[in-house]
Amino acid sequence: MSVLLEVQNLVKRFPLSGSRKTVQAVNGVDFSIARGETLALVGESGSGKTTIGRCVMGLIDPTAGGISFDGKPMGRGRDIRSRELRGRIQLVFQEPAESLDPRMRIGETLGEPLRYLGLPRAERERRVREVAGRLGLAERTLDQFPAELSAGQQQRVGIGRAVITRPELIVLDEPTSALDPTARAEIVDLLIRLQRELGTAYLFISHDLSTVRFLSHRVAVLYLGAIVEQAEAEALFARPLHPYSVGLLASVLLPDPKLKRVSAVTLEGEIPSPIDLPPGCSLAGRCPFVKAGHPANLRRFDCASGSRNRRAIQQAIAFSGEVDSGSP
Amino acid sequence: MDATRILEISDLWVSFPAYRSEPVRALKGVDLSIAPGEFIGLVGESGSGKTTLARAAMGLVPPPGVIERGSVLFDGRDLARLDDEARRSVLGRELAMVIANPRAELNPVLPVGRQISNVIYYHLGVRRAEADRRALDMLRAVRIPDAERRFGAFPHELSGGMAQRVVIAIALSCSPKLVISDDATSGLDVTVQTQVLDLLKRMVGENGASALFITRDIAITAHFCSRIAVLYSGEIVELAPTATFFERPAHPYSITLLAAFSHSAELRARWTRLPDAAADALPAGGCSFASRCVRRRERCLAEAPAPRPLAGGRFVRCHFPVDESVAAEGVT
Repeated sequence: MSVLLEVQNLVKRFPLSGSRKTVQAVNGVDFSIARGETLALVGESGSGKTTIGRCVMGLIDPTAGGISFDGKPMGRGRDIRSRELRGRIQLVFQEPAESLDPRMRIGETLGEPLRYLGLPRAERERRVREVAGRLGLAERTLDQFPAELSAGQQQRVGIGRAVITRPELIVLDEPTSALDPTARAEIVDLLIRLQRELGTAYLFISHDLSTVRFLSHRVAVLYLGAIVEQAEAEALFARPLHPYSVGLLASVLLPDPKLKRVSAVTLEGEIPSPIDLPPGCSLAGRCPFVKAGHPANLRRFDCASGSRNRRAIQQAIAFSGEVDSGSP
Repeated sequence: MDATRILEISDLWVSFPAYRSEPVRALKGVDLSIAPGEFIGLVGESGSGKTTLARAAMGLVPPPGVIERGSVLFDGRDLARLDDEARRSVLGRELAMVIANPRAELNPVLPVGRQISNVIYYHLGVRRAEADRRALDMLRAVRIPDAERRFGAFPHELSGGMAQRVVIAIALSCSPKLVISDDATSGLDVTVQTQVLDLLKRMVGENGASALFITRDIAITAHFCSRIAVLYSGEIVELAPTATFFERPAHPYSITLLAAFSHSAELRARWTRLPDAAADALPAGGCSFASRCVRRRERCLAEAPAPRPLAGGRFVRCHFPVDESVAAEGVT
């Protein structure tokens, strides 16, 4: 599989007005996505997920580090709006209702990206019908307005508008978190089917771990703008290595009263401010293993690789086995 | 009045008038009762009537909505019939609610400590200094770090999770008999959500109070409730003890809902009927779930099912409840 997107040592800081401090939103992130692959970025609010997504699309320029799409660097005019990349990277938004023009019929909305690619009308109409078929939208839906559709149907349209240009990469920024559970499941199944049919790569940004598990090939766990663990989805959910991953997985409520949570490894408190990053390991204040008597002066983010924390990792494995044992 | 019920809703119909058409019926004959100390989960999707039910329980059906039929008794009293003054003395003191958006509930220009202390001051009639002292205790009880300093903080200075803890502190400050949580954790991160739910459950439980957890997330009800009521289109379509519900869901919609949380796409495909043109043309008067039901038959289109009691204190509103052999495939 060839590499489609390569992100190296990405750093993004935002200035704070009236202060010399900065918001350290992303602090040195590396990952890559192969063609046809799904990488999920998971983490709490404020972990930098959306900022990374916007850098990948070229909508904001990174402070440092590089992003290359199909072998060429992004940024400085090379973004999803540029002629060269137009239609090759697409975006699906969180709020389906707000991302559709309320006065445009669904058919027009779906065909709009093709207008900017300069396709003739007949070809546009042919593609709109083809995509509607793939999405499971009825023919009459094309003449309706967004307000006439349910949230799940609206999000189908949002996805259809993205895939209609046959993009190589789609950035999915929390595409299911505004939806009801049944609609969420339908959208996830649709995304999986479309990927199988079209070979599109996804950068899937989400805090919903059960959806991530189902949809992703690989997962990168973000905490305060840094990736604390990156692994194959299967491996991460079966054997999380970093204490933060362990804590994050342990706080997920499973839809079965028999599966008890392991409260010993859940995370306390909330994500600290990205303006003044704490010294040492930035998880130390919340770390379930520090709480259990491990030294608070651990070096930053070395837990998954460092040998000094072996005991914590072993504990993590033991606990995660418990967390995981009854899962489907 | 049954003295063993803190909340008794019987045959409740709530409707909202609509311009040039039939009124919209938000609740259609809801029966639900909560015993003292009991935690009940109410699950349903947006638009199913969850919030209307919560408002009705407080005697606050929002105008122009009207209660067409039925009654709501909180601790033996019909709150909708009380005058504003009398109702105010109950709400916040005996019956409290926690809503989804804590910042919308808090006063943006008043320090949070004072907002808690006001509730105690007005409801319990204690001196201001005593109310402040108890408010500070509440802030500590909901585990807000550095409570003394946060007492004087304004809502915008707190994170979403902190603000939700303050709202919980307000709700619990007068030891209410019933707490209604209307999707109280939906806007929070998963880590914070679990912390807040644990807190709510522990504190409500310590008071011996009851709780109604309204949510879209069935996983929450699995861990925090003893019984689950499923609301669909203004009707409770299934009510069952939690363990039974997850092992042997009887209503097709319950299974669709559980399948949505499952990792089996195959299972989901089997229990999902996408809305189609035929569904739009279904005659009125049939089962409200018929348009999305994979098991619908002739009778479902002609006749709305009545609640049918099953063993173990459950009931299901379906002509053809799912038998155990189907559910035993392991939905979760």
